[in-house]
Amino acid sequence: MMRQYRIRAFFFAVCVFAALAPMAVFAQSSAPAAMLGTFPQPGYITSAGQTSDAAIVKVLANTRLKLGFGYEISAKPQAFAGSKTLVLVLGASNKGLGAAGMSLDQELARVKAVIAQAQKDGMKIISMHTGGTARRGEASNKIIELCAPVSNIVIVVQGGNADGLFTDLCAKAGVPLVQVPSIAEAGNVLKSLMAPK
Amino acid sequence: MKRFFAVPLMLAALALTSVGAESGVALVASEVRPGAGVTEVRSLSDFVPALAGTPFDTPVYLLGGAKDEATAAGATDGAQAAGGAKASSAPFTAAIVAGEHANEIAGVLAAYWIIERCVVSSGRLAIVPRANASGATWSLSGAQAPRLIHLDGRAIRYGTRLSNPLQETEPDPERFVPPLAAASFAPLAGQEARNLNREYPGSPDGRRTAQAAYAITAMLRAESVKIALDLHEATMSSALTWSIITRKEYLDAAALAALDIEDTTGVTFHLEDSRDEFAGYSHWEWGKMGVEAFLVETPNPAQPKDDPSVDQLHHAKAPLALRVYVHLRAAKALLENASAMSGADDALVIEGFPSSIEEVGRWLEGI
Repeated sequence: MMRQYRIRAFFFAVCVFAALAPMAVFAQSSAPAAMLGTFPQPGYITSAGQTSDAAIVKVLANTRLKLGFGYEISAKPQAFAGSKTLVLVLGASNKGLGAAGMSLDQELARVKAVIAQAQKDGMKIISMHTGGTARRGEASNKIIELCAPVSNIVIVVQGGNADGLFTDLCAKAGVPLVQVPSIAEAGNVLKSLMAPK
Repeated sequence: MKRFFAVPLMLAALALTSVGAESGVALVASEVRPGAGVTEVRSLSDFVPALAGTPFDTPVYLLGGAKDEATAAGATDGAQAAGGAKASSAPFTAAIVAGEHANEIAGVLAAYWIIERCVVSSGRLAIVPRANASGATWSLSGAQAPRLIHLDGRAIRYGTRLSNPLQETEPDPERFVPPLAAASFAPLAGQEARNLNREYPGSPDGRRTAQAAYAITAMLRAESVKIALDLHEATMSSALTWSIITRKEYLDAAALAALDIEDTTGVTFHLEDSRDEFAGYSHWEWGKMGVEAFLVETPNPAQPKDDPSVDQLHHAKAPLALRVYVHLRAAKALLENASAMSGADDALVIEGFPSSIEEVGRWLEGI
């Protein structure tokens, strides 16, 4: 009886560990130690979804953190030739898409081409989501579902992952997820990932 | 039977007279206590005389150096006489407009804070705290009776998004198209003709709301305003809450401001593009004039129906002090970053912004 209880307890403990382990891996507040300083320079920032939040990541990276990344909100694949790390700022903005004269399907096609080129060139990919719930919804989710699984790491400002979409996608794809409380903190994570120039 | 109708008719006529009689200038003067930083007070009727004495006339408070001082100095050294350098010698001027929608009170109160507590030691700041004063004379919940929020011994009107229909010169059209909208623009509901933030750049001989829009546009031109902020609020669930809306060319200044706002308030903002579908909006139409225009949105828990049961002061998620504080820090960050990015570092120096939510809370409640 006692032995049976121990086996059950052991089995329970294994199950709990198995359930919690991915959360520990995929909901960190800082980048995994093994990834620090491993993303090669130069970096290049573009939006995935035409969100204006890409401008925030640009000034964060370049004006505040002096990372010197290239930037174009709706970059074509040829725009980042020579860059080694691609930063995708996720979030569909109907206003942004309208301003760019694009439909969501056209934007998805552009982002697919950008990702394909980055993978072909052996670039590392960082996906960032900074817009909170305002950058979630059907259109944004399509963008997120496209980009998160093909990223080397995903950084999300809390609020954007309130429903656990990023957690699920990253867990399934084995992509580390860093969840932070602020855009400034997201910048610190981004900087910690970059190799020295 | 006739007597039965006569009394309501008389009351209605009285109401019409009373709502039409009070000048918006008097209304605003009853709410705000100008501080030592105010150097001049003008009103929209200085720019559109037809507004004088109407509920649409509203004060423009000016802080900092007089516009004429620098131009007079320019004239002394001959630059003015030669017809050049007037613009460069004039003080760097920014504007803050609030209360375009009179129910979005955090913006109005942020503007009142600046009028009461700020001093401009370099440059010039024009503030229109109740851009649509007519909107403050009525409320959705009480027809002609404006709702009041009592703060520190004063009654602040919680109005509505639109001008008071009884104070307009014309009934609403069936459909409304902003003045400079493209031919493809889908017409709006007729009541939007009373939405000040759909009427820019306005018209000097249109309906009163259009005249108010024209007067604000004329003020921006007359003051050579370089940067203009428009303070608003949105429904809690709106994607616009905690956002800055601006034209693409000014996104970098907005982005830097968003980072500063997060640093000082802990609130993360997102950015929205202004574009031609925003015909009639401040950020689009002022931007066309070369003004760096930014619209700031905080959440208002009573919107969209202006629910009178909502406790504005102590709401758990969006207390008034937080919203006013964020508006003020956003104003500071936008003015600093936009002026720096336009190469005018230190051209506009404003002192007196709050350093904590608690400070704003004490001001609101008179503690």
